[in-house]
Amino acid sequence: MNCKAIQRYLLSVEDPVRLPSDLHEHVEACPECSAWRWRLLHIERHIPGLPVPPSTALARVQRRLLRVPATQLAPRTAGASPWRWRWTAIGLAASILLIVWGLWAWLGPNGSARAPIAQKKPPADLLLASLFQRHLDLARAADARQRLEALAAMAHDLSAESHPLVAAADAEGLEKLGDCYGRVVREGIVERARTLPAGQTPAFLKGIADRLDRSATDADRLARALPPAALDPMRASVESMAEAARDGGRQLRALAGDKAAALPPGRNFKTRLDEPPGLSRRDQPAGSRRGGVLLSSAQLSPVVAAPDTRPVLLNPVEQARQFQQNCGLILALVNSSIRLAAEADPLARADVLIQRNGVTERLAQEIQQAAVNRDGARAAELGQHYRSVLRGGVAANLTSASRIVQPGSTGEQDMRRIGARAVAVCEPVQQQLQLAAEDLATRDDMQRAWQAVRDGRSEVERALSTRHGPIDRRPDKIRRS
Amino acid sequence: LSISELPIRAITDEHILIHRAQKGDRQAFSALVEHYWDRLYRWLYHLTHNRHSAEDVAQEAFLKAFAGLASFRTGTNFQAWLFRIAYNTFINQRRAGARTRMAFPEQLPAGGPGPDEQAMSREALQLLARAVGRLPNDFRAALVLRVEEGLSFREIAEVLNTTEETARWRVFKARQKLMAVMAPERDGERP
Repeated sequence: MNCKAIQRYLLSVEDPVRLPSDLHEHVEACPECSAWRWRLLHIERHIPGLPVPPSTALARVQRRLLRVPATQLAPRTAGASPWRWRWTAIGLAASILLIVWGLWAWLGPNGSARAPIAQKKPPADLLLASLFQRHLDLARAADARQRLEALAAMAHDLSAESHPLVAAADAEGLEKLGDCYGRVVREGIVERARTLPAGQTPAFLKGIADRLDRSATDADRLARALPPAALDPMRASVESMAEAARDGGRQLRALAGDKAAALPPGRNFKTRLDEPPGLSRRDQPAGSRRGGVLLSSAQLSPVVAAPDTRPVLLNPVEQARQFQQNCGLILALVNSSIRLAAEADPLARADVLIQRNGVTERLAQEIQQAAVNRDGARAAELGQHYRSVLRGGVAANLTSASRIVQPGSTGEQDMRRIGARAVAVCEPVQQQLQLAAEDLATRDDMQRAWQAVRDGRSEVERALSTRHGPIDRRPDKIRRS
Repeated sequence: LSISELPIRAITDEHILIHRAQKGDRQAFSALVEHYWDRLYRWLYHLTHNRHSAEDVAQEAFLKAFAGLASFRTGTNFQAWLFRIAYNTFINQRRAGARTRMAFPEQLPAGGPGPDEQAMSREALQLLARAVGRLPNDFRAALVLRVEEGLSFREIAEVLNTTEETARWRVFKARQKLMAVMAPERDGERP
């Protein structure tokens, strides 16, 4: 299938976020299709936000409803005619036939139950997908500036989540979100900004500071819009986000001010900041280089937002529920991202990704739990993230490390230890998914998740075996080494 | 506390409300109206481009829904059923020459830039709003149901009284047109 056909396919699918794995691989590898899909998702994401004048008629309609005489409201139940009985009899006969046919269809000629009709799948978590993408950007960032960009994008994602949580009056979720946001700004952005090479980045830092200021203004407005008194914890959380953003912006400006004299001429760092992640300016298709309004935000990426993520289609209550469900993963992502941002060495990055209680392990636990709960959609969604972490994070860094690590060195031992640990984490997940795949109702999703885990694991094994031969998969070996 | 004062999520099951409304409990139906009002109104606004028309159609749809609640089959999709009534009402009004084809508002309602608007500039949002507004009604109705309400093609077909394939086609065409209008090379243009 060529790019044009794939782009037409993207327009025709129910949810362009979820793609079959073969198409997903193409889209992931092809900058043009990737940008096309990103643009489509971007457009669809903004349609629910299109302004509509507020309606004031609800109360009026409710009042009217209560006043309408009953005689006008129940025409179908009154005045049964002889025809009504005939239709009822016909309907009854048809129902019996349908039930018999339905039972036959359900049980099949051999009397064994067929797979039940698939239930509507819950949409995947866009915030989670986006955070995984930032995390992946950090895992393979080429320099300190790229790391800072990824952290700024992560902060922006978290800041945007405050709106649905406020709308859903989720004080607990807001508190956790505020903590995450504060950590990303203070321990991530500000700390990394201090390490940028002096004299090269004032406009770049000011660009990030501007974004933080906008987030602060937005949070201030949100806090002001809250009703008084009863919602103090929520207000405190939103205000803490505003304060973190404002303080971060102030510190970045101070750092930029120190370095302003050495601003290199003619570079528009802000424009660079606004590019979609995952695509360098050189890699973008010609169309997206020319303009940039639509493709200009770092909201979403096609890479991890792969087969099982969602555009924003949920109402705030559902989004808040989703945030609570994935809160543990989000915390793990924030912790891991802050640590990754401090590491330039590929081996150290791979180690961060695979450490105990880190993102990979947490993700593995969540997938296992989804398998136990027979939650196929969730297992498949998280499976895609798992594959991305192993492939784009662990395997990619191990491959980079293998080019510089000397044979027989401690670096080589570390590589083997990290690889063995990654494989060991995969084992129970695959087993659990295999068990869950026996259930016909969720088999497809479980198999998809299993495939994703296997793909990620294979990538890690490949990264190691090219130079070091097959790795030892015994968990006790991992601990000894 | 009456049932209509409870948020619908506290009831946990809209079937309870529907069941009670079917037995004539207006308060229960009032809670359903409250739950679906904004969503239905937003969709109808996209169809009519006029606040008052959208409110009128929504009101009529709810009254018709309450009157015909006995015909609603418990266990089926209430939202699709309600939206279908609203769509039929909208079509009837349009046939009757009601105000449905008004120009899209030149000025979007004011509001400060939120995070999403940071992601897409106000100009781009305005361009998108115009592009959505200029889509043929059938395409727009299907696209908004898909994107904003998250309905499947089958559910969209149910609402718009058509086939699943036609619903898919309409969403496809709507997306195609939006992608053409919102192409990066046109970002520099302003309406």
